[in-house]
Parts: sequence; C-alpha cells; structure tokens
Amino acid sequence: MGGEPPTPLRAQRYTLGRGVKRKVCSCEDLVLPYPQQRQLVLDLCLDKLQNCQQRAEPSLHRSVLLANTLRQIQQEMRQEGETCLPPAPLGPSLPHASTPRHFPDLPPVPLDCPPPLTVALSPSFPLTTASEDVQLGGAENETVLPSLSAEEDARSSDMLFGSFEITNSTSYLTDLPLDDIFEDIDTSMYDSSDNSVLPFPAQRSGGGDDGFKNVSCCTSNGSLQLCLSDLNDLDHIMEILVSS
Amino acid sequence: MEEESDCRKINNSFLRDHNYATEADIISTVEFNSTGELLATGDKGGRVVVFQREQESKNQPHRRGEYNVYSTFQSHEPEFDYLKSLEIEEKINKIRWLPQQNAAYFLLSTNDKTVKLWKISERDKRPEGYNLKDEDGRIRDPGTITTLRVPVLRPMDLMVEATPRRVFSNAHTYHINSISVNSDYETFMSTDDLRINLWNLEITNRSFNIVDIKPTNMEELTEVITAAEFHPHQCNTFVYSSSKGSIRLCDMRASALCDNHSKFFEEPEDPSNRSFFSEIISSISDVKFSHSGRYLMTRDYLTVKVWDLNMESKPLETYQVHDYLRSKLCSLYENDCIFDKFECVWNGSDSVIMTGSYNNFFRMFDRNTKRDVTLEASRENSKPRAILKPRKVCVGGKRRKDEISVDSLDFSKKILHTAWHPYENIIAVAATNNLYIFQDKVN
Repeated sequence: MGGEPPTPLRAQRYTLGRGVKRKVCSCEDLVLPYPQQRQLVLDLCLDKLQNCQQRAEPSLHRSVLLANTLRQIQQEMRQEGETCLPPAPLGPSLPHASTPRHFPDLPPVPLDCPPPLTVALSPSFPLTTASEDVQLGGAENETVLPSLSAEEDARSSDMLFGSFEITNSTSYLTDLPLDDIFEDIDTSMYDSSDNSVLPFPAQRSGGGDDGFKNVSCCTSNGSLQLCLSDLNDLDHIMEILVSS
Repeated sequence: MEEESDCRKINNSFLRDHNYATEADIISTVEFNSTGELLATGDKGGRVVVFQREQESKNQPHRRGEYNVYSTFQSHEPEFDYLKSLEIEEKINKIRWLPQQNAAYFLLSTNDKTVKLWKISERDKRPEGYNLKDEDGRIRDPGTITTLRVPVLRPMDLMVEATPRRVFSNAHTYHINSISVNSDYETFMSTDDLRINLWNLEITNRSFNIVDIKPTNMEELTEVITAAEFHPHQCNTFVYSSSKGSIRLCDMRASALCDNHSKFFEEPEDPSNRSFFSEIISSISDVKFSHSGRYLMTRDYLTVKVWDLNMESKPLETYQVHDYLRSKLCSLYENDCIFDKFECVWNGSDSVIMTGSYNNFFRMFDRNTKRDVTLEASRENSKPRAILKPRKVCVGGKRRKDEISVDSLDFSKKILHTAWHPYENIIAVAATNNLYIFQDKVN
C-alpha cells in the first residue's frame, strides 16, 4: 500500500508568482484520488493561514474562510477515523513530533498506515515512511503541521482572529480607559472598592445609544501575555535578590 | 447588445510617461453620481479622480457627452498602527455620492478605517480690490491708502476644489467594506467585517452600532459581513450579506440593535456541486438593491443571483458568470483568485445586470430576453468609437476562431469594479489601472 511516487504538484506550486500572467495551473490536470485531493487542499490551507499573519494587509474575511475550510476537512478526516497521526499546534515549528503533545491517549501509530497528513522534513522523524518522503521543493513548510484537537483549533484561531483589529494608535492613550489593559490581572488584594471596569468584549448596553466601540482593540491575548510575562520576570529577579 | 466604445485610458500619475501599471494606480472603486453627470474613481493610492460629462454640443453630435477629468484629490493617506505594527492602507474601498442639493457636489469615500465627506465645488470668480492688501497678497502700507474701495468679484479661470468637510473615524475595529447613504439623506452606514454603524452626516464624534455579529469568543467566529446597503426608498430598511452566502434584511424600527433580521435569504446548497470550496465560492462579494427596491442582486464567486424581497427561500434568477471555472477551483484556490471580490450593478431600468470576470472580460445579462454577452475591456480591442465584439470562452474540445480557451485566460486581469449610468446606457469598467467608458451606439 502507498507505493505511489510522490506527486510533483508541490514543486510546481511555488513557481507561480503574483504579477506574472497566471495560467490555471496543472493542479486539476492530474486526477487525484479523493484523499490526496483533500490532502493537497489541507496543505494549501495551512500554508495560507500561516502566511495570513505575515501579509501586509491581513484580511479577517479570508482567514475565516480558510479556517472554515480547514475545520471542515479536519472534521471529515476525524470522522473517517484517521487518528494515527502526530498532532501538533499550528504555530511554532516542530522538527521532531515523535511524541504527540497534549494527546496522551492516542493509540500508537501503525507503521503500515500511510500518514495522510504532511509531516515535517526531519531525517530523524520516525514516522516517515518511504512513500511520504515528499520533496517540498525549497518551501518553508517545516513549520506547518495540522492540528487535530478542538483546543488546538481554538487556540490557533484565537491567535489568528485576535490580531485583525485596527487600533487608532495615534489617540490610543486619550481614547481608551487604561483600566482595560490590566483588567485580567488580579488586584483584589489592593482594591478596596468594587470599581467596575468595562468588561471585554464591550457590552451592548441596550444597543443603539452606545458611542463608537474602540475598547476591544487593545485587549488581544498577545499584548496581555507580554504584560504578564514581564511581571513574572520581575518576580524572578526579586526572588534571586532576596534569597541571596 | 452592441456598444460603441469611447475608450479612455486614464493614467492617474501625471509624472510618469511609462505605460506600466503601478500598484497605486489600481482602481479600487467606480461610481456614477445620481444624475450620471459625474463619475468618481478611487484607487489604491488613496486618490479620487472625478470625471464630468461634457455638455452635448450641436456642432459635434458624435462626441456626445464624453467624460473629462474634473477634479483629482488625495482622499486618504497611509497610516501606521503602532500597536499592531500594521499599516492601514490608504486604498479607497468605496465611494458613494450624496444627492445634489446645491451647486457643490458631495461624496463619501472610505478606506479600511475612516470615512470622509468631501465637498467638490467650482470657483470661477474671485474678489479683487482689497483695501489692506494688493493683488499679490502683500500687505499694503496703511500710510499709502488714501481711498476706500469695495472689493468686486471678477471672473477667473474655472477652478475645482475638493475640501474634506467631515471625517468619520474611530468607529471600526475591522476593515470597512461598504458604505451606503440612506434615502433620508441625513444618515449613512459603514460596514466592517463584524459590525455596522449608523452615522448622521453632520455628526462625526458619535455613531450608533446597529449590527454586531462579533461572538464573545473570537474562536467561535465562522462568518463575517461582506457587504451592506440601504433600501433605496425605505429609510428604515437595509440588507447585509455574509461570507456564508446568506443575506439578512433588517428593519431599524424593530429594535436599536438589529441583530435579529426581519428576513433571511439563503439558497439551500446543491449537494451535487459540493466540494472543499463550496463555502468559499458561496461567500457573497456584493449586494445591490434594484432601483425599484423590489429586488436584490448578489454576487458570489461563480454566479449572480436576483432575489425577490418577498421570497426568502431561493433566488428568482441565477446567472452563471463563468461556470467553466468550476472545474478549476483548486488552482484558483492555490493562486488566491478564489478570494477575488467581484461587484455587480443594475442598469437604470433594472432590466440588465452586469458583472466582471477574468481576462478583462465583463458580462451582461438581460433579464427579460435571457440573453447574455461577454465583452472585453482592453486597449487592443477598443479603438475609440469601435464597436465591441462579443467574446466567447471555449470550454473543451474544438476551439473556434476568436474563441479563447479556459487555460489561456489571464487571471491577473480581473474586472472587479463596474458602474452603470443611472439613466442611460453608459458603463464604466475598471480594468486594473485603466478606466474604460462605453456608450450605446448612436444611429
């Protein structure tokens, strides 16, 4: 099973440039069996989602469509019971995914089952079978691995969708109540009264009377993480100073 | 339907004499005003160019009403969002004219973030004979002034000036995709991916949020708003379309926040056509009310549909724009063309609809005769006053002379934006950085 030669499609993929007269590429010329078609679409989807973040003009619309397509394919694959795969998060690169993270309950990979999902190109990767030794033709694909869990989906789509908000940074300080940035930090020790801060996302208090909404833009997870990790660093330094 | 072509290449950059297309010159929106006298275009560089139709002259009847440049101005500038390290594009996404109420013209133009109201007015007189300054503007020495005179208005060369009158900003977290002026002529709405805001044209520091589809958890986001428009006559009614192929009609009298629709238009999916790309190609890229207000037109990747406002279950008419692309969706997905957003327009009497395609082709569908035609907007085929020849795409098998095969289509030449004169058969077609204006043949 699975002795088919690697398809040359992926090498072709990267020769189409923008601004060049584009012909309809030969993606459809080869009639692929359904699982391989699906694999190709999945790979493209992941590529595009990754590139989304790096584009000069990120588009929420495009990301939502890509994420929906990805979810649809993943659900289909899950339903077909293809669980013999190493899962991995969408973000950072994983050259060695031999130990599935976050999924201790997965059954071991049967070696005769050709993993339909792309795996990273790493010589020490134990699950690569001969048939999956795909040439990725100079691409940057090592970082792209599909994720199988809903949690992973959720976290990655949050990373995706959280970054699309436009802020008016020129009037950032004047427009926004600064409390919003720190509302997640527990300061219950210090608060003497029940000061309410604007909840995030901004409530629609009776709808029409609201002024413009610009409060949601600053509280993306990314900026919060930065604030919190800075605080952790300080604590760490304090520990060292104190204990010495 | 034969058309005489009065083609014009408008090069927005006056400094360049080369003929290549630069990014900034790419036309991103085209719109006639309500009388058809003016035609506005916006481009990726944030500029607006307004054309005015010449008065028809008896001496040269064949040069009826050509459009000439009337005013050019920089509407939006690029901005930088320091927090996200993202540039906010100056590209003009939409232009909408206000109805004319006095000698000046007003239009709304928007980029991803900010809507601006521009006043375009003519000046053909200037005051002369000031007492305290001379004609060059230099202040006169009061000691030399011996008489008092009243300044008078003297004619001068016509000058057209554009001034920004209102700036509506800080109301959109996501990218604005539509603006629509209400028939009450007092309010307008601006729409981004997740929210629709209502503004009063006079008030810039406050807007009302009328639709909000942002989920509490962004992880649950599966649908965005793609376009919205006010009903042409009922000032309380508007529609918005979604990336899932549905249209919602809302009545602002029902509640302040119109999250509950009054009508929901969606066609059930055809199971035989299902593919990985079904959802992407069902995303609606444009929605337009007919002039009568009885019908709605939507454009998705492969079709244009006409809906009757009284029938929510399925469209009244469906027109295939370029069905030969259905078998090429994977490639179009790969090269990103599947995400292209085509617009669609009605003619003045709502009998013909028009939309763009690839290879600089655009299509017209006659709703009454059910005939359709494919035309091409290209310089080679459009000498002034030449008649446009219908084009045909050959799908498979033998290719006749003059036909073009699907594999030879140029997907970088796409016609996304077109406009139709409100009364006459004059159309404006934007092909990348070129604007073509076609008129009906004169007998």
